[in-house]
Amino acid sequence: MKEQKALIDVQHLKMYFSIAGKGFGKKSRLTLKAVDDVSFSITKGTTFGLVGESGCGKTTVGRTILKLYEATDGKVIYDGQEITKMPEKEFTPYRRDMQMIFQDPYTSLDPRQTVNEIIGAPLMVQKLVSSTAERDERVRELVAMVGLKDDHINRYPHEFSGGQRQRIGIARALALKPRFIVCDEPISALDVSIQAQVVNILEEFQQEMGLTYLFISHDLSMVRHISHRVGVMYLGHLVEVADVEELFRHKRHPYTQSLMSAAPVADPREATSNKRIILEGDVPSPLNPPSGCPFRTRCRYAKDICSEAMPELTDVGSGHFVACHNML
Amino acid sequence: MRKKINMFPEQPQPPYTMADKDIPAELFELLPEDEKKTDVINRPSISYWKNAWIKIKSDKLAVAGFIFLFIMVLIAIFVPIFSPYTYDGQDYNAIYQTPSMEHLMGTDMFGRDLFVRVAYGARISLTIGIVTALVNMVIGVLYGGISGFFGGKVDMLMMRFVDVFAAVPSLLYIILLMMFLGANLRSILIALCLTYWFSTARQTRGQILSIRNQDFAVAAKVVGESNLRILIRHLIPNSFGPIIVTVMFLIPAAIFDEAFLSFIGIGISVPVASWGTLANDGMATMGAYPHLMIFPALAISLTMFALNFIGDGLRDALDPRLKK
Amino acid sequence: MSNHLLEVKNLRTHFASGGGIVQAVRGVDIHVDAGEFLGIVGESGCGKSVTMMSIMRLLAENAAVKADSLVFDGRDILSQSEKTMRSIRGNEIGMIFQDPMTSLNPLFTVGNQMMEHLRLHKNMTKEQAKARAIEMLTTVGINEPEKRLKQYPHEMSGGMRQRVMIAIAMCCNPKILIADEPTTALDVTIQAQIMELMEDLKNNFSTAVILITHDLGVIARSCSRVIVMYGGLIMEEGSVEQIFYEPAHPYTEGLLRSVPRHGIEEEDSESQDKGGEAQTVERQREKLIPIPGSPPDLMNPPAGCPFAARCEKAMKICKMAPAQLTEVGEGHRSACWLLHSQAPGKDRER
Repeated sequence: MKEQKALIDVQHLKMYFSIAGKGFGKKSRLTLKAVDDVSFSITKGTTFGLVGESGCGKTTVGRTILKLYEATDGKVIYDGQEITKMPEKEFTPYRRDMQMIFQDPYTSLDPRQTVNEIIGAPLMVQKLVSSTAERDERVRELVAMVGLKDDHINRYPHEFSGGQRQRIGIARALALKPRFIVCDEPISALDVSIQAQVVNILEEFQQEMGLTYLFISHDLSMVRHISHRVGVMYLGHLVEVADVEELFRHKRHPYTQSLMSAAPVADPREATSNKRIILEGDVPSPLNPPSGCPFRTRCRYAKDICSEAMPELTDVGSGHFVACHNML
Repeated sequence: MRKKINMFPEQPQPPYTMADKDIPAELFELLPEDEKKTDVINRPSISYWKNAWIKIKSDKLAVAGFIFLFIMVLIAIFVPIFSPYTYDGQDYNAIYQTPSMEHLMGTDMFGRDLFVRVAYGARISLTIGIVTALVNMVIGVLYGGISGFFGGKVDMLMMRFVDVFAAVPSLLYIILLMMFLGANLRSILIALCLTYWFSTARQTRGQILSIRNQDFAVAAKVVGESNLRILIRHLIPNSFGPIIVTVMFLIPAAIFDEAFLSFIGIGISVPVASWGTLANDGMATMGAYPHLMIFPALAISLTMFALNFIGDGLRDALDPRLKK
Repeated sequence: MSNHLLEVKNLRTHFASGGGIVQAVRGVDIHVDAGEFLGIVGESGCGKSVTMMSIMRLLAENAAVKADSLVFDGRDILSQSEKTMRSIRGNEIGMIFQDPMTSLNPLFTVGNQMMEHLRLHKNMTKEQAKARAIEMLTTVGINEPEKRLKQYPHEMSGGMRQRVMIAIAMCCNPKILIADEPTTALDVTIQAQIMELMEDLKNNFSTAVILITHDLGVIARSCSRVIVMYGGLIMEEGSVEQIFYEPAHPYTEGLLRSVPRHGIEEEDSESQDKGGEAQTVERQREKLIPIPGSPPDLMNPPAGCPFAARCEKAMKICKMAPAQLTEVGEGHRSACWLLHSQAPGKDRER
């Protein structure tokens, strides 16, 4: 594949939260390293899948890129422009380019507003339309794009099913004709038969408009289906990144391996022929992460070195990066 | 309370079953695409407020409360206008009369018509209730909204301020203010308005805090809506239901406080009649002429009941947690 | 007449709600045999959970349940007193739910709750109950059970709490374990732990397991028999092989086509054959085929097949009358008008 231009370049991104611990005063505050030194880039017009379990920091990565949180350290370069340090006022025009689709279609739409107001708000705020008539016209186009009907626009979110609501959320994200969309678990709250509707819509729009996606999910089979490149996160760290087929065929990190073996597959013969690699125990608390490699407490291959040093993300060829002391 | 309904209404018998052998062949033709009606919503469009209205209409106690209150408002407005008596018109030929056709609620020690005086008291009480509620709602929502939305240090300072003032019993302030401002309707209003907004402010702040980080508020930020717009367009409308309920319960509290102040003699002063002063006057002669006590007391308690029923009804209708 | 462990015939459950009556379950036949792993799969609102809650008589007051028969272990469940039901629940039928946090009482320690359960259902002494609780916690793979007994639910992780729930459900050696979306709230690696545990329990204790889930992947791995529900009715039932490889109902077919089927783990030999070529060209994606539209509103359920409005093979009759479950193979039944003798071939093009 030719070297293509990256639309999003995340460099050594860190996002720490200071949270209240036991007791009073500054000293009792704890640092939660939600994202710790994460680097990756997303090529224009492709989908980067970010997988990991809850609490691994994947959602925080998406939200930090969109400047919903102020990054503790590191850079996000959007189309050649460093945006992490940009003041909100200067950043407002960039909001047009960078949009988001949320996980829960029940909380991401304002229950007191009609579909027209919800999808129309971005147009009005960014002054892309000059009158309400023009707004209504655009909203109708957008609603039609996601397969809903004209007479739906004056209804309230609670009157729609989950899948329909998610399509409204997509229409809102598309209203500003963005170039980059963070899809934060966009299908995990939806029923199986509806998930494909949403994924197909996302894929169609990518082809038509050349959209770039950051697709955050814990559903490995969907990530494999939609992504071009995939990153695996564990406890705030990116442990493995590669092009999708490369990653799924040649898993080099023990965590990736067990994550994939544990994922349910909708095929009984294949499911029973695979041996699940059952991980012992739970994910450690991000407030008190293990020394060295974050995965070592559950890793079958852990050695002494793993508790001493955090392994670097190393290039193992063909764009495949792994952070492990004893790669598989 | 639950209506007895037939949970298993008679279902129409399907015209065919799998066992039938002679189904018309045309029925096995493909169903035309336009008859499939996917993504069609059958239920009528109901907004949040319309839904609340439907619910409150079906709440009998709340409806009774509304009707009672409506009648009370009519009495307050029209009885003093059309009655042949005035609230301070004395008639020494007709003192301490028991209820009759001439004097519906009897007369007091100066021969003043009690019905007119109770109606006049309703004017004062309802004015106090409504004005206090409205003023408190505005102050409380703005204060709490700003505090909750900005959070952090601003929130800390603003809420500690409220805590300090709310820690002292509000009656104490009111009594102090009344002594300072003099005993009349205006000063009661000022006193009540200055002390009641704490609860609305706290409630609003809590509401705003809980929805500030919800996805739809984040979504508004993502599309570039300003903080002020998010507060006004999303956060306040979404916290309005519970706030209205709190404010609704403020009305009876304010009315009751006025009655209490007048009853202990530092509220509205004679000869102006409020329910509290009337009850106080009536208490002096309670043994001999109980009606002088009973009618004002009834007016107070029935209005309290009505307002509380309305408040309960609103809470049930507006509370999202109780929503099915 | 029946020698099934649990058998329900024509179960109907309706709910009174603000706007009318929701017909959540509209005539469902289910049977479970001892030691069997039954999966009930369907989307939210299809009635799968309500069916199980009806059987356990655990529904709220606004629900009404009717059935032609509901027999558990030779006893008619519908005529049992609430007291007998309490002893059946927990003692003979164990249940675990999606969110273990809401089914554990946050005010009591885990040990307290387990021992209470045992003393109530098995009349054990305190010491016996404690010994049994420790034994069960060990069985479900919890380390240091004595220490865990003294902990409160909030001190445990989600996976741990679900293990505790399983331990409570299993500690009276129930004949059936009903698991309602037991892994939905858990992460993939924890989900694997819990599913492994349930499979072990089924094998070691020969408890029948009824697994309710929306996840076809979970069903594929663990279950031997599958029931597919939609719109308050059973659309298809059969062995896991029949359902996944020879689906007879368009809804089942649609479900299977709407999830990526090709596995996570692929045999390397196969992929390497084509691999070199495919990677240079644009990656070939398997196209997902979604089911259009949304599930029916069960307040006004359609007169015919609930799936007709979304079915690409729908015929005129499908809108008029529901199809009854019809035998298509050994233990494989499907409710579709295409199985009627007068119906045209299944492969008619639209």
